[in-house]
Amino acid sequence: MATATYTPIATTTLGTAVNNFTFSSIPSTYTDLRLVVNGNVAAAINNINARFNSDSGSNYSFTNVGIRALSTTPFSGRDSQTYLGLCWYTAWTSAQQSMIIADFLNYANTNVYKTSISQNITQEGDGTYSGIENTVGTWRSTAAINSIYLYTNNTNNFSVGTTFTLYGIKAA
Amino acid sequence: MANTYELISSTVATGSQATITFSSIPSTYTDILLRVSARMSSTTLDTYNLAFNGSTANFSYRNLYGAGTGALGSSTGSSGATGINEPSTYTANTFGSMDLYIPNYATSQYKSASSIAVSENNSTEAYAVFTGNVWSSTSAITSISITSAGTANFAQYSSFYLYGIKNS
Repeated sequence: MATATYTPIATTTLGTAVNNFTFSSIPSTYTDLRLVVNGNVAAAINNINARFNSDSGSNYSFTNVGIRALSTTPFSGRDSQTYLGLCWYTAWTSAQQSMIIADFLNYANTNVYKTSISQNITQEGDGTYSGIENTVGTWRSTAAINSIYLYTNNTNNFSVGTTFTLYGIKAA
Repeated sequence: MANTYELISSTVATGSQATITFSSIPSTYTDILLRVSARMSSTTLDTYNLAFNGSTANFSYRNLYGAGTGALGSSTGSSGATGINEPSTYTANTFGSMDLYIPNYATSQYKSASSIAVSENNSTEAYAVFTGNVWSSTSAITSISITSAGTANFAQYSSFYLYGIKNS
């Protein structure tokens, strides 16, 4: 029998619009986590951020590279914040489906800070902030990730039908 | 049995195919992943081009690419362009790679897709390309076709694997 790879931990399809979503009680039995978010936000221009284990301290930093509708020149930037920016220079809007795929590596290893690599695809619908964005990030904590809090920066709601899925990936 | 990537179908090119098609894709998964290892029989460097359910209509794309030298570039358009191919002028016996991930492919929403692709070349030119696509259709994806560089054939031993991923 083949060794299991992606194992679904939790999934939700929104039946009510909300401006945040939390995966809690994440088991520590996997090696890596993969987060897949697919949907849109009901109004305005919104960044999508993440926090781990309810940590709202200045313990996050990230570097991104991408392209957005505003310019034909690719962007690259970095930030240190109280959150991990999964969609930072681009933004989710109400017009089209957008998606985030984020990998959190060695999320349960209590000897290391936690790293992530993610892609955000924001489809056409806004002439400035639509685009693609790839981000690497660090959460400066050796704690195992046991919760992931996702939210929009403008408190606008993720639309009904938006899906949040978390997979566990085992190395062996 | 634990959930994993489940292989839906696979094709290894014989050298005489310009189009690779996965048809009758079941709607029983949540997301799908197309994993490509391919080389072209032609010298033309180009993107791959997608068709869903037999149609190239209602697509858009935006990509970001680097070639190892010079500034990053980007392009956008109304097509199913995605990834980057491996032309026959690149290092012999070498195949480029692409992962194309499509979440919620069987829902009644418009479909997003994300690809990461590289061309492999022991030279000063080799590409890494990130692409976002949208297919503005509420139909479930039941077939995927991939072509490149017009009517050029995929080289023998190019492989295409379609996986289904379940969220429960």
